[in-house]
Amino acid sequence: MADISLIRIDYRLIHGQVITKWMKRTNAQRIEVIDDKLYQDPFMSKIYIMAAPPGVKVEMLTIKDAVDSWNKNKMGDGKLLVLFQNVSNAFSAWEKGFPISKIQIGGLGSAPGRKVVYNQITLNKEDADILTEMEKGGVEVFFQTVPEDKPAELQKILKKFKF
Amino acid sequence: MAKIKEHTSPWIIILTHGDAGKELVKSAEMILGKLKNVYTFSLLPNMSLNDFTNDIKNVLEKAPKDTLVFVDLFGGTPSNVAIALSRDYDISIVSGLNIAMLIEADSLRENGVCGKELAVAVANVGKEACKEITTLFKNHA
Repeated sequence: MADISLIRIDYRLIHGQVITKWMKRTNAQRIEVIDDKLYQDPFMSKIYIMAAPPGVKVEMLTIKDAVDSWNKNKMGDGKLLVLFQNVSNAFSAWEKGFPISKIQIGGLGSAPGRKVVYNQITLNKEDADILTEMEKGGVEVFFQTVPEDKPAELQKILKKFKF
Repeated sequence: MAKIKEHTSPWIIILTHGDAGKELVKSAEMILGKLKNVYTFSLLPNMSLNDFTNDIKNVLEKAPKDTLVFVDLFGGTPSNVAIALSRDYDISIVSGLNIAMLIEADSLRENGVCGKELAVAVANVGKEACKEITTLFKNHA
């Protein structure tokens, strides 16, 4: 059974913080990027696959593939780092049966309608609602960009920032 | 009288986390004087990837062919954005930007070197620039 060391939402997917900090912290040997849209784009997929640190395998999966793989053989062996590019992808996977007991919000970028709630993380009402629903469903949702950051709980963030 | 075709030196575009590129250009200009057609783009915390990419596209649209793109860290967001842009723009990308590479790039492009040849040469200069000086000095005759 694969040991899912970390499930992270990061709009930049595989980048500086993930390669240098989170890989070391989790000792993950594989990175699974779960993203239906990205899966359909071999060029963009290749960029992220190539960005992996030496010795680490990056796999692009659709939500269905990820759920099937988990149901079939718990995604194989070893330590995994799972990445979603946004909140709705994570929610969609969770709804369809991908196991998420804890999810880290590591980075969400600026856009109209979004406000910065913690470090490099923005939220809008839609994301806040989705995350609240996941939390009600038993998922521990926390905000943390790098390991040195103190993780911030969803409820504390939502109390501070009204959506 | 025949008009001499003006060689258009490739532009240099620098993509980094924060203002590293901007500051590095200032440092290089202490050595080289004002640099022409060098554009820097700083990826700031929270910046939207679309905004970052569009700012770069605005310059690439105006650039002559064979733009040389420097990025700081391979696999970082500036690097990933550069590769994504290579789908639509004729660019060569080199990571691991240091001051020696920037200086050499400026010199080589003025001498007509461009495209992949420029990128490969500059990457080599970048690697050679990394010396373990203490031992080198100790072992020097």
